[in-house]
Amino acid sequence: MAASTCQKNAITLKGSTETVSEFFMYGINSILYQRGIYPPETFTRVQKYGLTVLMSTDEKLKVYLQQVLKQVKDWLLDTTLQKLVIVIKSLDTNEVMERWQFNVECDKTVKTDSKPREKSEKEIQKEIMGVIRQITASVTFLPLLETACVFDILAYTDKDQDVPETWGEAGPHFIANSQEVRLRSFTTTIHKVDAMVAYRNDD
Amino acid sequence: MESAMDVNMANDEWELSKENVQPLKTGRKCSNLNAALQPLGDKNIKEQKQMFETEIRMYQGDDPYDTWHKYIKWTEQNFPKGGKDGNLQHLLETAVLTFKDDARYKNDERYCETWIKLASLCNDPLDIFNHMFSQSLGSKVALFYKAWADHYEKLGNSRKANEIYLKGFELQAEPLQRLVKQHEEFQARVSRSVIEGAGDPVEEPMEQDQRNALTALKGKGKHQVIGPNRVGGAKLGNKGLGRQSKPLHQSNTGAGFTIFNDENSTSGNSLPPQTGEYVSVPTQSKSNRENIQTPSQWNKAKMSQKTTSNVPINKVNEYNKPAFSVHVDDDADQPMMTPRKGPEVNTQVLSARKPNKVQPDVMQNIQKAVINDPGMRPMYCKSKIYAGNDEFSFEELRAARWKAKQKEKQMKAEREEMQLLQKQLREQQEAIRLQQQQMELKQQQFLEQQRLQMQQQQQLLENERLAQQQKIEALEAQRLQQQQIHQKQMQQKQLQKQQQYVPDNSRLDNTAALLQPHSLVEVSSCRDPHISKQLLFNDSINSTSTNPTPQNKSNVTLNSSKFTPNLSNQSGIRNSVTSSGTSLSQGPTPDSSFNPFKMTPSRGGLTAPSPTVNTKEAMHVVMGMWNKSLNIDNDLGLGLTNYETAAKDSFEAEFEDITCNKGPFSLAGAGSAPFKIYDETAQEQPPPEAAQISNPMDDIENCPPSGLAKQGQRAPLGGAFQIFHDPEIPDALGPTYEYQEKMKDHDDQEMDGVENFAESDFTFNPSSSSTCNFTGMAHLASTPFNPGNENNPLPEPPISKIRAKDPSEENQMGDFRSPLADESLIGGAAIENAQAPAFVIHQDEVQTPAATSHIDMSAPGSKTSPLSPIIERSDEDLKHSSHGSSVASHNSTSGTTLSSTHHTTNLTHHRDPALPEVEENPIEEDNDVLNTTRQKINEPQHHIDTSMYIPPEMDKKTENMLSMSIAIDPLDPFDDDLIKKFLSKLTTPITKYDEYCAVPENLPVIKAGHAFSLGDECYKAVRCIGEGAFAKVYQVYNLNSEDLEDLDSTHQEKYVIKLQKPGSPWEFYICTELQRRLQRLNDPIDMCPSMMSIDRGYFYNDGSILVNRLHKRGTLLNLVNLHKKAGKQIEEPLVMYLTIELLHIIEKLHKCNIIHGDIKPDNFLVMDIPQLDDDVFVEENKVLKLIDFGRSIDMEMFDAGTTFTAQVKTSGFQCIEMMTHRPWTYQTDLFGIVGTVHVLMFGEYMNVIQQNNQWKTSQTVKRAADTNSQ
Repeated sequence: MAASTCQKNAITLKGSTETVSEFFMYGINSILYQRGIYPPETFTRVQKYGLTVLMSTDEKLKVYLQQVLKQVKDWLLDTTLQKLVIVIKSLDTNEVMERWQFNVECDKTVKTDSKPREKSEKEIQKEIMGVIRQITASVTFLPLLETACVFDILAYTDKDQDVPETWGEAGPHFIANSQEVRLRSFTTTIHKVDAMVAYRNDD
Repeated sequence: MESAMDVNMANDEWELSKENVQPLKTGRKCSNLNAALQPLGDKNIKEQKQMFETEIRMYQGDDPYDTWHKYIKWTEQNFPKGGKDGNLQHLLETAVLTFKDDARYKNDERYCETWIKLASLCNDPLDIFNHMFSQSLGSKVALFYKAWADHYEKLGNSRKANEIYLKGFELQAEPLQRLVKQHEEFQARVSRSVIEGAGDPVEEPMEQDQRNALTALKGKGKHQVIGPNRVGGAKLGNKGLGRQSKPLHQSNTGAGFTIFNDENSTSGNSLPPQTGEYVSVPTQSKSNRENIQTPSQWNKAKMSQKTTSNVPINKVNEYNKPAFSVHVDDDADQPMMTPRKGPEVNTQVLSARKPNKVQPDVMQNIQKAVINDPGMRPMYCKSKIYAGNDEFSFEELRAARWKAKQKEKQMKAEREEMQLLQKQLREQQEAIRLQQQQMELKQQQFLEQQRLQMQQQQQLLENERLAQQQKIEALEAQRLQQQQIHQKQMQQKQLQKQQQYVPDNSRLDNTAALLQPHSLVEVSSCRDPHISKQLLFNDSINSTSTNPTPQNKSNVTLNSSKFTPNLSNQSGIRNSVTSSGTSLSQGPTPDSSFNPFKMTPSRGGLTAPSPTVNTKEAMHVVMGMWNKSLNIDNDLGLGLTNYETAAKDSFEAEFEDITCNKGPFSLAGAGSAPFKIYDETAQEQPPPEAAQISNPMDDIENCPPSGLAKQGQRAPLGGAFQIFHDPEIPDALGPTYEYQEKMKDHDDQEMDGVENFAESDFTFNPSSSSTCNFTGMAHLASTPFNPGNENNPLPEPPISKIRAKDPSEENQMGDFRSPLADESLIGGAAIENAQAPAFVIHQDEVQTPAATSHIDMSAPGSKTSPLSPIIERSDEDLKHSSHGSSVASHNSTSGTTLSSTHHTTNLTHHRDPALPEVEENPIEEDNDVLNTTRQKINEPQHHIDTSMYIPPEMDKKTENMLSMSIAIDPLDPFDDDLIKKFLSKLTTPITKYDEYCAVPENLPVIKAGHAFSLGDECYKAVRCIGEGAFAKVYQVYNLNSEDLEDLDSTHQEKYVIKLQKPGSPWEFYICTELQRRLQRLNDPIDMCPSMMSIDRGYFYNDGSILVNRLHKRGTLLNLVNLHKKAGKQIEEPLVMYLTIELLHIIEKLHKCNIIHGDIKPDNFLVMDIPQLDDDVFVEENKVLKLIDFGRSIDMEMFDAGTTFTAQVKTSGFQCIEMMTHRPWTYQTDLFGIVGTVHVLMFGEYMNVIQQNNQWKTSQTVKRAADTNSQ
């Protein structure tokens, strides 16, 4: 018993990477559902973090996300990821409507074989739940997306990283006249993720 | 981590209330959202709303809808619940109706948006859209068609939606492009839904739209339940993405008759024509007549309940467990506090109009407004009163208008000022231009002259050069000779040779440099009073200040090069050079043949600061300038008689200019002033002496001393030099030198003169003794209670003009307090009068007669003499304390003994306290205390006998007390600077208080019987009812009362105004703050009426006026005196009752963390004497009112537990702690209460003595009540 709890509270770099990338998976899906980027009927309910999270059933989307997150995982493991940004753009005008930004602070001192950190999984899950909940609640202030929209995932890494084949260089996709709302954050003690959303607000 | 979460939590209001927030199409600002969701509501919201409401009514521009639009947007953002609190629907309706017939906004996008918003709040938006279309409101706005079509699309009627889009195209709605795009999107959605719907008939929506007559209602869902909402296909799918179940077609088989179908029925196939006939909008009652169910009470309805048999108590747990499990959050242990609306703090009596209970239909409202009863016409500005969401009162409207007018006036004044300034500037520029032209002319003339000069000089130089060449040649020859002769001393010779060259070169340099000053001097000698010249002059100064340096250097080199006779004898020419060199080196300042000009730069260096001068010096010059400008006036002005008439205006204007912009620019201008007049007057006119009288300012400080005129007279001599340089320089070298020689004496004199003059300039610096006086005065004036100055025999500044001047005035004041107490008070005053001379003698320290006369005067009045009010004393105001000899004696003792550490002020002592023995003989005093019990009765003052007091060894208790008190504030809590600091640190500055009224003028003159105005109120002073050291109190009544006819009637509102010089914002602050805190206390017994409240405070430049209500019954002191006069004491029950009241007041006061600091019987007004059958201690029957918070302390300004050690000399009753130099806080008030009660009980002031280490009053209380004051 004691051994198992010990296991539960120990955070290794690998485990942390797993947790964070999993959060990205659910978080991105949640955003895509909440913001109506994909038709709601293509989503299915999944119980996660003590919440009902909607996950896409669209095969192409799933493949795409897995591909992206695999790369993200690599970066997380290298502790070179700085930001992950989900940009929602208008399909016609290519105008950026919303920008979901997850700042990642990596503890560079941690290596794969370092001594695990102490933090209970439950606590991390609770923090993640807070973030996902806020993503859901953000409809209270986000403007209605009236046109069809597409999304894009940007990753900011340390400068010395090579761009993988499947990725391309892109601009930051900032929004003019934006309102920014800082959401909650969570940390695995190795990776700290700050969530933030920026949206257009013309007045 | 935890802390980070906390920080986040602060801004997570939106998340907690997400269910309460209505999403907006345009999104929300999170900051607004969080502010709006604050449980108590943001104060700003109220203010902003008021602002919008006012603006709507007062708008003057040509786009009145702009304000409305902003207001609507603001309402949406700040009332996120979308409920009734923002009353958005009403606002939208009003907005829409107000501009319904305004052609400007027919096709305004914002206006159209408002209509659409209104439609979205409406039961049947289609009505609104139809109405809009018919009235061609927004028929050119793409937004309208989009919204309309969207609505049809939502209802599933895509055909009609399409039609609407097409209509929009047809009418060229703007922006068309957007509409086209939206139409495309719409088509895409429809086609997708058609594909996904797999063969859904296109006509389907059509059929859904209209119910077939006399058929069964269409059911919904699995069980074909017929829901309550049967309008069309009320199906709000996800933009056509949802699957639509195929409707069941039901045949009309049942009916045995045919139903008439209107052949002309458009039945949704096309839009109604845009006729504009659709003026009267079909309301719900009209269009939906048969289908409306009138709301009724539902309390009769019952839910069918399962009856269950009784369950035994032990089985209650097993029984009836729900089939489902209730989900409980993991973090449910932390109670989630959902925001809740707390009680509103400042609820107004007139609350905002509540929305009607039964929300009437929107269209009905519109209808109502459209059909106006032609027989009715409001005779007031109804539209303005009901303009926004709130209702405005006439007064509010008037206030808004007045404010706007004031603003306009201010703006106008500013504009005028600006124009005036601009005009002045333009005039100046013009003048400058003229001057420049003149200057140019002059310069040209001069240049020509110079050119001539130059030519001559060049000739001269050439001659010289030739001579030098010869000289050099000779030198070379000599050197060769010398080399040959002195071969051993080669090195030395070489050095010498070099040195010989140096003077030559420097000489050349000199001549070159000397040429420059010519032009400079010329420029500066132009007597142009204007800036352009000043600028030039400035430059010239810069250059002159740099030019002399090389000369200096050359002089130095000349000196250092050791002009030994050896060298000078080497050649004849050389001789002449050296002679010139020596003459140069001999000059007191860097001299040259053109010495006369040097004078100007040196002067310039003094007056005009060059940029390199350090700041201190600059300050010096600026300071000097102010006085000096007058000197200039004077010495220049020696010729002012003529000059004045011509140039005075411009001159003064310039001075004004200087005062306006104190930049370095104008400094230079002032600096240049000496020059112009200097030359001109000197040259043109011998200055008459009498001009001094015409000095524009006749300040004594600024007047020049007698010495100045002389120096000024000398200065013009400089003008004489100018004559020289033109004709005489071209002469041969010899004469020049001669001239130089000749001039040297003269020159020295001249320079002396200049120097002297310069020095004399500086004697006018305000840094002299006069400044000391000034600062001293300022110091005194700003800190009237400065204890440090007590022993300084500084001149008494006129601090307060409100001052008791003669006893007659005092009488006046005295008899006001209570008409009934008149006689006694006059008696008192008489005594005071008699005592006054005695007091004077006190002051003069002539002792003997004072004592006797005092005792004589007071003895007869022993029994009947009433208590005189304790007057606030200030040390400067010694005269005032003549109210009672003991006061006076106290004052003078404190004055004399303060320096000594002994500090025993036996106030009971009737001998002149100035006598030294008194202080040194406490034993004698003891006797006095025992002997003078009879005298004590007369004592019109309260005192503590500290003669017996032996400062105790720091016993445990005091030590504890000292250590307990967190901070002993050594500061005087009444220090003016401290109070100022407090006032400036307030979160809401007192200027923002409602009662605050700043009047940027001096205090109005107030005389009894005369009317005067305060702000926009008009009052008439009845009489002066009281006077203190710094304040006067008048009884007034308001002339603004509505009923102007019965001015003389008695039931007018009477007020008391307290006029203070200087103003007392502190008392104002304390009073208003106290009222606020009392309200916050929310005590069941409202003490507000028992404390002085200020209706309005007017703050003038030199004082303040506080307006209070009048209570005509006088003070507690009057009450006591009345009884005393009647020869009786106040009945004990009344004393008890009053004591309870007093304690109650003080208790509440202290609860508000305020120390009154000056509790005495005369600071309690008697409002009403309770009758026997009255309910006592209820709000309506407050008996006493505490006034005069001028010396109060706001303990919230200090750290908790702060104690003070300052002695408050102005306090009526100094508490024991003050007398014995121990820290005190609230007890000073309690001591005051004891003193007050003592006066009530015994009709005399309290004496406190120490016996057996206990402080006791000299009076024994009947029935052995214990009255230890400590």
